[in-house]
Amino acid sequence: MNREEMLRKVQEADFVLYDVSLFLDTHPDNQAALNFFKEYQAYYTEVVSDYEAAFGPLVSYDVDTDQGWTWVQGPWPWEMED
Amino acid sequence: MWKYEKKLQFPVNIKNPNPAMAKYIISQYGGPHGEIGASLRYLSQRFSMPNRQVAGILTDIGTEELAHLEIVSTIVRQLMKGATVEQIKAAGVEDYFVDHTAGVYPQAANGMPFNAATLASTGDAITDLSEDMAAEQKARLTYDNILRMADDPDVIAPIRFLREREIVHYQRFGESLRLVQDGLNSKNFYAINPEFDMR
Repeated sequence: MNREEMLRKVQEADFVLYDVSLFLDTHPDNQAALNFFKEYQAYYTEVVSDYEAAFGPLVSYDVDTDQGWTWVQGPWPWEMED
Repeated sequence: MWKYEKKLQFPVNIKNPNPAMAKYIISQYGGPHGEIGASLRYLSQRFSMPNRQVAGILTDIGTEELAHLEIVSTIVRQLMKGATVEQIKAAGVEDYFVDHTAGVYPQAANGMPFNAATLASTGDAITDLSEDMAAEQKARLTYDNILRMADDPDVIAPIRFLREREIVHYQRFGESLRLVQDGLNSKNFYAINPEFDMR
């Protein structure tokens, strides 16, 4: 997978967790939603670490300083890829 | 506090510059129904929200609105970047270009800079949540108007995503209003401010 495809996986997993978070804010006792959230927590962690291993940090705290300050490398989200 | 994540909530990759489209889409960045106003509205209101669940909704939706203003700014930037002066002039965007070049400035489509008078934070839970439901509909209608005019599929996809989120947020704010009302004194259902009067 290229960068855009792997980032899309992160965006999808992030969207699931975000949208279900909002649902849980007003339905905190909904067991089906809690189970669904838990399932995607694990998936999110997996796709984020796959992405970061290949293309660098999504959050600055995840920088591997052995590689230097990679936070400011690579495109910013508003930049188009050519 | 907040930490930045180096990604958009929804991807934006616009291949063709189109300053005329940037000129009206910028309204959802800094205009009267735009995403800056949305984020400031919810992130200001939460401090006086008496219901913990609803304070959570305001925090989480306010945070998502920050991601939305980043999407809208990205659309504007990509529509302006690479446009020639001839295209800028043909699109009637000289008045923006002269001050901001191909940069991003928070303003409405008519050029009015972002104004916090477009939002309310009243310290009254029922008033604020009623405002929030209306605000989500105002943003939805603005995205509908953008979709009536936009003809580039690279622009339409993220705008449709943003429109859809207004509908979800409207639903969550409706539930929030019900949660606050359920906690009120039944003899004074509509008039009381639970944050100020019931301490």
